[in-house]
Formats: sequence, C-alpha cells, structure tokens
Amino acid sequence: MAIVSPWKQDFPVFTTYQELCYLDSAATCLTPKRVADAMHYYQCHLHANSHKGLYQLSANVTAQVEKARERIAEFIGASDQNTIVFTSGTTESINLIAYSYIASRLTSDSNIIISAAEHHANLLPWQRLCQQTGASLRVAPLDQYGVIDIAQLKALVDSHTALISISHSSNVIGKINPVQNICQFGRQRNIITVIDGAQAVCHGGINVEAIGCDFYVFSGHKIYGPTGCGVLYCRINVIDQMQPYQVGGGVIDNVTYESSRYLSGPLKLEAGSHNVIGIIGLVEAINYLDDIGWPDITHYLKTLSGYMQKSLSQLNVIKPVVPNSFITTHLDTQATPYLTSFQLDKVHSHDVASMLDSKNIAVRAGHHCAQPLHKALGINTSVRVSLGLYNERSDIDRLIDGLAQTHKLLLIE
Amino acid sequence: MVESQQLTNDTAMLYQQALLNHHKSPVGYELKFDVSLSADGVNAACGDEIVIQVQVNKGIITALGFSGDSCAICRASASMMCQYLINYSLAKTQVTIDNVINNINSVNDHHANFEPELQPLLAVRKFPIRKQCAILPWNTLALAISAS
Repeated sequence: MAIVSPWKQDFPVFTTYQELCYLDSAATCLTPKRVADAMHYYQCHLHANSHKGLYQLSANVTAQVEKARERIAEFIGASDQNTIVFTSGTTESINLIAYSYIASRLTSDSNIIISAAEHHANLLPWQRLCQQTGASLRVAPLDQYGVIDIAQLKALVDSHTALISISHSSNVIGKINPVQNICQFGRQRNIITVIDGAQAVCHGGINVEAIGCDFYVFSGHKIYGPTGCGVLYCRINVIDQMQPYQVGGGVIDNVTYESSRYLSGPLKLEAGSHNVIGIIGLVEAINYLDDIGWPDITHYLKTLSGYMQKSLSQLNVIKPVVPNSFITTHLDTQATPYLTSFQLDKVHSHDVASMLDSKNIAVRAGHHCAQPLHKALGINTSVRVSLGLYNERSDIDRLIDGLAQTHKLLLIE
Repeated sequence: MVESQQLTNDTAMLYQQALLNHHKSPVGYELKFDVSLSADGVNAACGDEIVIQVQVNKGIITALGFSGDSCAICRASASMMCQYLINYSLAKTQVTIDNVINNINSVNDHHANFEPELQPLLAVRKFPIRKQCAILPWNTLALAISAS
C-alpha cells in the first residue's frame, strides 16, 4: 500500500532537513511555505497597529483582523464573529476563561469537573481557582478505551457543579471524546462547559454550536499556523458577562483617573496590540487546509493513522498507554486519532527519543504536560507519535525500524 | 519494512559499551544496606526519578546505592557513581561531584583532571538535552550529603 503525501513539498523544512521524519505534530505542526509567505508579506508591506490608528494603513489592518474573526468563526461553526477572541493560544484562552468569567462565580461550595486526560493547561488554572476559592476539583475517569467515561462524569455532577472543562481529544491518547453529549448534559443543568480543542482542531469539522459548549479553545500552531496566536470562542450571551482579567490599551471606551468603562464584545478581552502577524498566519493556514479540502485531509490521515496503529500493534515490544487504545470504539464517530502514545518494553522513553533522533526521527517523550494522566495510567513517561500532512508510509516504516533497533540495543534482560 | 540502518557514530558514542554495561548491569541498583543518608532527585522536565542511599562510617562512604525509574544515561551515571565513590570521604566526594558536573557542563574538550574511570560520562556533552540525565544522580548525592 503506497501512502505518499502530496503536500510534503509545501513545507520548506524538508528542503533544509531532507532526512527529517517529523512525528510530533501534536506538539506543533510544521509551517507551509504559503503561511510563512503570507506572514512575511504582511510584515513587510501591510503592517500597522490595528484598531487604533486614524490613517488608512491602520484601518486596513483593523479590517483584516475583523475579517479574520469572521473567517475563524466560519471555520469553527460560530454564527457570530463577535464570539471569537484572539489569544496567544490554548493556555491563555483557558486562563482567560478562568479569571474573566469563572472565578467570580465560584464559592467554597462549588465544584469543577475535569477529566483524567487533561493536559496541564486544562488542569492548573482550575486547580488554582479551587485553591483560591475553596471549591473542589473533581476528576472524571476514562473508560477502557481511553475515552472519557460519560456515565462516571455525569455521576460526579451535583447542584453545586459550576463548570465542566474537558478536552475534545487528549494529547496523550488521541481519542475523540463525546463532547456534544456532555455539553448538552451541562446545558440542561446550567453548568458552564469548556472544550479544549487543541488536539481536535486539526481534524476539521468543528462546529461549536452543534457541540453546544460555552467556550471552545485552540492554538493556531496545531493547525499549521504560527505559535503565539490562538482562539477563544465564547457563546455570545457569555461574552457579554465576561470581565477582562488583563486590562490596558484597546479594551475601553472611556477612562478617567477614577474609573473606566470597558468595550463590549471580544475587544474588551484583547488588551494591548493585536498579534496581527500571527492572526494573518492562522487565517492563511485555515485557507490552506480548506483549499486542500477536508475530505481529502481526513481520508489521507485516517489511512496513515490506520497503518501506524497496525504497524505499532504488530511490534510485540510496544505497550500502548491504554491497553485498548488501538481499538476503535462506537464513540469514535468523528475521527480516527492522529496520535498515539506507548512505551517500548523495558526501555525508557527518553532513550527511545534519543535513539530515534539519531536517525532524524522526531517523536515526543516524557509526560507530554499530562503528568497526572500518566500517574493514573500507572506510568511515568511515554513516547508519543503524531501525524501531520507531510507524513507518509515511509515515516512509519522508519519509526518501526528505529523502535525495533532501540529495543534490541537497550533492552534490560 | 525498510532496511535497518547502522547506528550513527554519535549515538554509538553516547551509548558506548561502558555506559551500556552499566545500564544493563548497574552497580548499586536496589542494593540493600543500613542507610545513613538518602535523598530523592527528580528531573521535572523529563520525568527521571532517582533515590540515592548512602552508608557512612566515620566520614567514609562504605555503601552506595540507587533506585527509581530513570533513563539509560541516568542509570549508567548512577551506577558509575556507586562503583567509583566507595571508600571516599564525604569531603572528597563533594569535590568529585563538583568535578563531574563541571566537566559534563564544560564547553571545552580539555578534561585533564577528570577521573579516567568516569570518562564515558563525557559522551553526553555532545547531547545537551541529556546532560541533566547524567548529572541527576550526582546532584542527588550532593543533596543527601548536604542534608546531613
């Protein structure tokens, strides 16, 4: 079976590192030339401060930022562009939710529910809020396939549950969680829902209104955009109630030494100067993916992911972090995982990564900013392999070969 | 399946035989003895965990052991440390620890005063990301000594 990427040539890094086998797209995607070109052109020819200058150059940039808001709303199925807030990424988005909206709604009786699979960005802000307010943090377990256990999550909910914040897809396990079901359940009980879409956004087809969440967050660099530019979607009647937790230029319509009046809509949450070059890059990345076509992307990566899972499962020295994670369940309706994590039997994950690096194969090793999940799975570290548009069958073959050699060399009898 | 590739020189150097032997048959690993001093060490960035245990009689190290979940580099480094420091005074041990850490972190290639038995540790200098793995056991031993 030939699986050759028709898009690898779009990524200049492979002309610089011709032997590179990059299997860490869950950490950050490589950059298509077209995205870098768009950013370069903007910075050289169009750059100005948005939303502030009373001259045409600035007005043009303001229009571009607002057009980008429209484009991103369309991309994630939001009908109103004023639900889109630009942030530096997933981490800032979640912190913004925590301190602009949730903090003031918590009491010592409240509880927040997350899942066992959250990465630190969707754990630490809530943990700290609970420490500050006396609220409790409840953790929903995963089922045997590595998906959030809906029944057990629902059993944690009571009349004091203020928030459910879960990942659309875990950055360690990669399975797609039943977020629509959980958000609808939350909505019926007036519980705020936050969906961390960092690892799901690369699957496309996100529809925040169908999901029914109050907040949806993701980072641009997980979908071939630049780092430092992310998105926070806030349901329209929620954004009206949010109070800026960062204040400064651009968030007010009137300031005196005694008091200030904040703007309405997303601008009140975007203090300071917009990261316009990042926003330009993110929009270009979305356009790039749309131009390829999501059906083609999905078909290709699903095929490659299937080959990866099959190849890994045939290597008898591989232990997936969730024993059944190579098994597709009835819940995997939206997408096939584009990532998987495992241990190489009796070989430390860091040694695996170093050995693979010597063969120009880049994988992630460690706890992937999800230490509690690893502890819950009874392990300290794992190796994570994740796929992007530039990967192809030969990458998986090189990986499997490298893993076999590493095991042979470093196995402790 | 693609053809197996030969290991690169760099990797062969990193995992040279001396380190491999220590990794596979570590000296002092889960050794049982009456413990005088101990300390836990963690590399938060990568997840290496190690416990160093020391037996001291009249200021001299008479037994040294380690345990924990750590990578091959950390394990081999701990094993070499356990083999090398027996019968060292605590004062001389501290000097040796400083010497090992300084040499691993050194940017030049001159290691005239570095103990020959520990030379394989210098292989990690070519791999900055892994230096912390080699240094962890030595830092943890220093912690145990300073806590005493």
